[in-house]
Amino acid sequence: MTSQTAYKDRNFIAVIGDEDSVTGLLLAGIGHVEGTKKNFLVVDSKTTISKIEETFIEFTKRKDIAIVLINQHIAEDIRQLVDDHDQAFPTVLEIPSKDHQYDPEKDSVLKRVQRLFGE
Amino acid sequence: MEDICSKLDQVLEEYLNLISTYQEQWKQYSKETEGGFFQLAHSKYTMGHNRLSQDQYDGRMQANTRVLISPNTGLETNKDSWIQFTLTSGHLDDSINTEDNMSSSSLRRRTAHEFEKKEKDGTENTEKPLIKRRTRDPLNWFGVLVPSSLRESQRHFKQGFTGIINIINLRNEIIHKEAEYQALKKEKEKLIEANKKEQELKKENEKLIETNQKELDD
Repeated sequence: MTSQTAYKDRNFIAVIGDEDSVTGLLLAGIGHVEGTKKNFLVVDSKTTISKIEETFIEFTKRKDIAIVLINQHIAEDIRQLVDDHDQAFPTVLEIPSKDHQYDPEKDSVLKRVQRLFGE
Repeated sequence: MEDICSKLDQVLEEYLNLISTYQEQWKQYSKETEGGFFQLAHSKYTMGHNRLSQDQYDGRMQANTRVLISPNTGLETNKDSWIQFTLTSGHLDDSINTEDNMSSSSLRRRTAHEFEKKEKDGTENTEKPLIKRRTRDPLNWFGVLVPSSLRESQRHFKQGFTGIINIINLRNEIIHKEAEYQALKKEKEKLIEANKKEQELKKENEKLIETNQKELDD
């Protein structure tokens, strides 16, 4: 049984996304900087895939992050890494962005439902 | 057998209801963020593109929106639990954003207050300054007088973020329900197989009795 105290330090939300998505979520108050440690990454045309991968791995290894939000179109670039993440914490959620609407076909939960009913 | 079938139906119904709510939540979230992006674009138009970019983020920002993790046991306590996230605002620990506390205005106010007291009492005030826990509103990164569209955008994103937490909680509940459904399905399959074997045994016994009867008759 998981106890609340075991996860009391996991309360940050990290985000990997385009500038508008990150700005929006930072406006909501999730941004946190400690020295050189940030809990967000702005991905633009200059950001390399290796940088995204590196940040994703860093966020999933950190013990103070409870949720990692990543734009669906960015998650596509590191699909293998996202799909291989099978730990309960941090929870990874793919979110839509300004230019890429939410696509239910790429939703992991709805994919599971389809698999369950054998479609 | 009937009992397990009705249980399975009930779990499936709950599962489908959860999926329907999940899709509904996504729709609501998409609507909120659409509004947020629209208002953000409007703010960029009025403020200028350069004044609303990542360069303006505060390098000392502290999260004032966080989550708490707790196990949810649902209504029936004997069942396995799933993880639930709860949104919290404000600081949870002692990490205080001292940047605002040391601002010149608060110092000025304090000294003025002390000076008045000193005049009244004629003694020196030795009480320690009161440290207030305050976090900066991210809106202020982009200026003191920000357009109303940016405030509106922030409202949309805050609302949307609540939606994200709901979506994650629903997802955990769906996965939990799916496991419950699959366990019941397996149990049902086992029962069906056991029933089949029982019937086969019955048939074999009947055949044996028949052949014995025939042998006896002969």
